[in-house]
Amino acid sequence: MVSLAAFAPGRLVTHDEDLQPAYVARAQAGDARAFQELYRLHRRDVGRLVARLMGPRPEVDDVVQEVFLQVFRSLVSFRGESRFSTWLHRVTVNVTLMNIRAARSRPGLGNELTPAHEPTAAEEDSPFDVSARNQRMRALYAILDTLSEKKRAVFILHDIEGVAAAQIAEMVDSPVLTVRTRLFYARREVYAAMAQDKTLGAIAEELKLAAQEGASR
Amino acid sequence: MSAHIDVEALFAHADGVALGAGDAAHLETCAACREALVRLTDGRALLDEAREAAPREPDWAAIDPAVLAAAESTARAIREGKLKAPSRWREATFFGVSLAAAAAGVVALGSRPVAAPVEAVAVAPGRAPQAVEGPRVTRYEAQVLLSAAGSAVGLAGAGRSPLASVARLAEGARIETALGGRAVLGLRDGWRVDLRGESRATLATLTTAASEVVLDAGEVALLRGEGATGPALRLRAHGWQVESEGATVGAWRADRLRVVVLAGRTAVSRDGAAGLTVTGPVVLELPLVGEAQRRDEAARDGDALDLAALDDAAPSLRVPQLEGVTGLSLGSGGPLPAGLESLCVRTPATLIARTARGRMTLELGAQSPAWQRSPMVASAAPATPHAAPQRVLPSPPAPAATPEAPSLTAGQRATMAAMARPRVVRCLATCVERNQCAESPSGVVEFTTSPEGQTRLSRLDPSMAGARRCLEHESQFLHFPGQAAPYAMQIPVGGREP
Repeated sequence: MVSLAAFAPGRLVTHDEDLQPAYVARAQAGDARAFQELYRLHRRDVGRLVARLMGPRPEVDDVVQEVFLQVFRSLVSFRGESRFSTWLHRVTVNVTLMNIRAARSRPGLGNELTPAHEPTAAEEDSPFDVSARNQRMRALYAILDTLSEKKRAVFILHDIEGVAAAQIAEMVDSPVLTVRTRLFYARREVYAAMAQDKTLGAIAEELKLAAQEGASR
Repeated sequence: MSAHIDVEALFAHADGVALGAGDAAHLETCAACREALVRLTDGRALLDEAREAAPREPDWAAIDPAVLAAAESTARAIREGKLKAPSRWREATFFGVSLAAAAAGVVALGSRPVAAPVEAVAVAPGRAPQAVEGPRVTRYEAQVLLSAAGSAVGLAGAGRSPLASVARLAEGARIETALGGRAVLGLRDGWRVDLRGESRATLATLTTAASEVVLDAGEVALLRGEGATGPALRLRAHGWQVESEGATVGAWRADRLRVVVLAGRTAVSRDGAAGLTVTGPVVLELPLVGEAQRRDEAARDGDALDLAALDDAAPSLRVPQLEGVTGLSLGSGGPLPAGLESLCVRTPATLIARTARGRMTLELGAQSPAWQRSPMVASAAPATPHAAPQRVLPSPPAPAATPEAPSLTAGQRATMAAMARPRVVRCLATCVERNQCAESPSGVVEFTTSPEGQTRLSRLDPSMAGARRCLEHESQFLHFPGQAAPYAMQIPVGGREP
């Protein structure tokens, strides 16, 4: 059984749900290995979801860790009324949004950045490509950061991560209609921001130049 | 109304959908719409790329040990009965009460199935609630003294209500404040709970024997009225328990609870185990994993309660407000120096204060600790560990600074610098925050790349020496291209930002 839509390879996927009630029950009884097993099964999904929602921010690792600590502490009160993965993703979204809120509300390094995306094996030989891609992702997340956090989350989950609206509704604990409404307005705002964003053209030009220089080298 | 083409129609057009005849004709003649179309086409490409590229994988090598240790300790806490699920029938009671209250059109006041009946006590604003005397422990209700900017309260099974409409809160109430919001509650024994913006807290226990607040997120200040007596107020957050007898501020950070004891004695423990007792002013770091750490900083005075002081990125140790406070001392360190501007911890036993006249040092381990004037050394340790991080942002590297790599084009050097820059910034920011680098590091960070393409840290200004380990670690992730001979890449740090 799959609890999150897998629209494309590498998207959020879930694991054999049949195993999980057993792990959850054992963890609730104080079995450390069951906790570890749940972590092992879900850490990549959680990491991916946090990274998607946060964008290229240095706090991603901290938030992933915080999600699991929160999940562990709250697992005793998980009553199985939803699938474990649904509950886990809801906690993930909540913790991530809380951290984004906190990050927005305090002065920081400004555009402090981390590599946004994992280079594939083919890309490792080309640092310029990796750097250029990271620049593009930062430009995209800079636009997304202008959205309110709820709209931002829905937009990222739906239009980038490819999660179905019904599943987003479960993750953000809102009706599907609300999710669709947020998505509607988020798209309008994103497109309007893109249409006004002069840096998009500049980035495209910069990247073309870098690509030409890289090729001529 | 704008005559331009709707942005969604333009985006759809960038996605290959044909425009209507009118819009198509407009596009032919409207330069603004054509420009917007170009940008939306670039934006669409960005979105496509974001969908296809996998996000950066977290640093599992760093995360795994912490999470697995937490798994172990959580499991142990469950086995030992220290961590329990909330009682189902208690929640059912809450639910039933809430339903009945909703039907009656009133706000539900939660009931807990303990032996004693609920003893609700009305409290006028500004006056602390009083518990009804009785042979058994009785519960009381908190009084809402202030609710601002969209604060809300939730009771188990009863959804959320605007906080302003609920004058009194029963045990179990969850309070949530919006951005810029604030909720101040009066508890018994003269306690005031001041929940700041974007915070969540639960009134976990409100009885004559104990009052307990669970901070789920954000920041809360616990203040006690003058001359009030009675049990301490407990602040609980993820296993940590802070029992305050004076004024305390708790603030959640990503991986820890920061507690600022402004005044009075405070006991800190975790999972019921014996803990430590401190007397303010002092700052404590209570991490989710690991031991509590005491930071011998001067906490701000209770009247100011400026929670911005708790922020990592803020110059939290600048304490001009303390100048007018008399009699404030730093534990065994005695009174703070006059004209204090900032204070930092150089080592666990050494504090450095910057005053209007220079720097002062205090050795806490000494028999009779006293502030001594520090010699001013150019490469000496910093004055403030929490200096504004913006100061350490390295300037963009000058392409001309790499004469050793003549075959690299200016564009390539700029790209390489863009790769290195955030890593350098992060290392230096951490270094300054940990008080291991000078307040405003400046100079050059130099990386050398071998013909095989391996990049290593090769030069570092002394003012950034504390960041060496971090930079060495980060250098292995700099995939600079190998050239016929080793070459250097210099990142200037400090100086004026362009």
